[in-house]
Amino acid sequence: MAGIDSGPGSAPALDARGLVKRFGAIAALDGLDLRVERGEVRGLVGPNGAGKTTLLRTLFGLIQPDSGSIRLLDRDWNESAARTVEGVAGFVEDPRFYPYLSARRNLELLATLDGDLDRRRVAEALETVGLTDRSEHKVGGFSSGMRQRLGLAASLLRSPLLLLLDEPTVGLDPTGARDMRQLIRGLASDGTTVVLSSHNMDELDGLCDSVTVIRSGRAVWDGSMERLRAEAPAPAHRMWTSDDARALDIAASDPNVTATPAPEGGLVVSAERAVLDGFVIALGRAGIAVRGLELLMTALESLFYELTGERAGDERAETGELDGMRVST
Amino acid sequence: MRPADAHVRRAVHPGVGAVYRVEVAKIAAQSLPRLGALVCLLGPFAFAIIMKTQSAAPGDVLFGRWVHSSGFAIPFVVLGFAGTAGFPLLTSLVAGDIFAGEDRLATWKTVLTRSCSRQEVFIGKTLAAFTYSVAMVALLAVSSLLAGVLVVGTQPLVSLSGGLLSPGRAVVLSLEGWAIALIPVLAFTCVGILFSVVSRNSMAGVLGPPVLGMIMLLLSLLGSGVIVRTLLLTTPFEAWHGLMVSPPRFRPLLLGAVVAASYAYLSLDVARGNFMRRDFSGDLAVRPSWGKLGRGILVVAAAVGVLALASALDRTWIPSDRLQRSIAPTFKNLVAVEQTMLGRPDKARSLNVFAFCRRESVIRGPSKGSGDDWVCSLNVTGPRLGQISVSYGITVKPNGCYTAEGPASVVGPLHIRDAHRRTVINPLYVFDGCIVST
Repeated sequence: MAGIDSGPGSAPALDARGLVKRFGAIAALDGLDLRVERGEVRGLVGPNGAGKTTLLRTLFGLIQPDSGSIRLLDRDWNESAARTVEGVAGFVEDPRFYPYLSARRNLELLATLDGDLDRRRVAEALETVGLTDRSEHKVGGFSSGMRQRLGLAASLLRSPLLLLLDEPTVGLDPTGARDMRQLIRGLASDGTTVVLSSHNMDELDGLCDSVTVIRSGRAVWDGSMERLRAEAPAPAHRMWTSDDARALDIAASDPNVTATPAPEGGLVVSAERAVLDGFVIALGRAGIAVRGLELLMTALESLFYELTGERAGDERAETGELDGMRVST
Repeated sequence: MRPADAHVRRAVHPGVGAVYRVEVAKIAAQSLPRLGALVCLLGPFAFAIIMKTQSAAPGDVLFGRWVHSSGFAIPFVVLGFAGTAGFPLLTSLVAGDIFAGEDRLATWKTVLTRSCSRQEVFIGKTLAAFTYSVAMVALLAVSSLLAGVLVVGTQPLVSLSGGLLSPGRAVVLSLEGWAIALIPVLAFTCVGILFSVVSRNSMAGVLGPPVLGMIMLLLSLLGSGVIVRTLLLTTPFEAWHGLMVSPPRFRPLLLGAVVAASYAYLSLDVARGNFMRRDFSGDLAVRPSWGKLGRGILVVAAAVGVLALASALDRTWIPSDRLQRSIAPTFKNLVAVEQTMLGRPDKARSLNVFAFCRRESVIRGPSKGSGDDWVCSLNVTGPRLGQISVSYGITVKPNGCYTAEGPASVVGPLHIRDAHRRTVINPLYVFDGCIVST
């Protein structure tokens, strides 16, 4: 495991208490508590403006909280020194670099700012994120996905014990997103604590040990993925049938199925997968054709909307997503 | 790479040096600072070559009328031009962008999530901006000196006191003049840093100092009041005039240093406080709103109005007796130069020159202040010259420098033939001088 001159390993990697940050009348953080144990992979989810990015910026020292305390890797964040705690790395929002410099030169300069310029290590970081063949290209011509990779490479140069990532797969193509997830898993398996925010509940499900749901600057739910899954309601589907009225009658006879007419046509059916299978078969036996079935909301998404008080339809209207996979921005 | 096991990293505090090295590398890689360096390197050569190919000379600038006669005039002319608007723009190319550029590129979150503290970032960036300013002044000084020597030649130069400067002395004075200009240049660098930090906008950062410099220049032209002129950051750019008179005057240099240090301290203090307290809460640089812009323009206009009024009411520092004390010895020295050119140096020995100066527009009371209506009557007596009376029309600028134009019927035409039958400039036809505050 990587080592910096850190404190005792038993202390949590991140212990933030009562964080308050106001921008005028808006409370971006409103008494937020967050504790992440060492080696844990924690997901942060919440709707737009919930305070996720503000929290990450505060942990990096980019924003000074109005009140509250932060301990990172068993060290108090020192407001007077106003420097990122050693062993903490990552990025907020989309990583940005100097467009007139090459990827390699950008990393070299950042390593210099860490007081640890090792060109061999820069080359390794570029190789890890798959940018070796573009290392001499100016970053100005990079896509957002490539900048995302370069952001991770820049983080790796700091040998992070605590990695803070803001939507790390945004802008990546499916292959890039998969590679990024694998890399994060690899880091976590080596003992690196990872805190990441994401739009994608399913992505967190496959990646995180635990999740914190943030709403209006507060942590409204905090727990393991197992607990989250256990508490999650049934997934919701949109169903189009040949006879919606009779389908509603059949659904009413099964206490495990909840069906309501959708305003824009069809039905919204909430049921566990096995129960839904039985409901579809029952419809077929009753001579009702199922003309379409679409996953509207996963179980985790359903819980997310329940916890954050967001309305799924509003969110979809905002994001323009129809595949039911996108949770929030 | 598995970062957690590939490399064991110690807690490191890279310090100001690391930030400085990074900033210098970034400056060297950017096109605008490179363009500035290119202009500093080639500009004086282009100027010298253009002057060489033309018969006209920039007579409204100190030493301008000597650009065809002595290569050592070139660095002083370039210094005079640069001091008006060039230096503030040159320094702000880097100083005005060095902080705001991070806002423009949204890279603060990249820089400030490394191991350097904000204090180190501030100091490192400030030192890098200083380095660029010093490097550009040094480059301009050396290139203008080389341009003058290579394109025009190493002929002696006539000083502002009318004496001849040997090539060696001219080189030393030229370099001293440029070194003196560094003081306000560094102060303008601090002002650029202030604009850069507070505006968070590269354009405001880069254009702010030259606009401020131009406003100060206009104020300095409004009147010759001593208090207002002393308070302006553009005045120290003229402190080198004190080296060009005999005996040298160092008071403008000392006063200029105090004023420049005050501007620098205030600018850096406000900039540092703003930077240290700032929340880096978003990616986009602040774009000045029309409301803020309007308020800013009103504040600047009010300040300019107050200073202009103060300048008009401020007491002048150019009385007639000081002009008389300056022009008499200068004329005497120039007669010696002229007679030496003509091959009869003995004729200028033991001359006595008495000057009486007045403004034609003043009917009653003492003559004083800047203007183009000064007339100086010079009574010249000498054992081999007899007695001559010469009347010069004088234009006195608010900065105390003046141009004296004599009657061709008495002092001869603009061009004369020297002892070797070469056509040379008649130093008595038109000459420059400076009253330097003591």
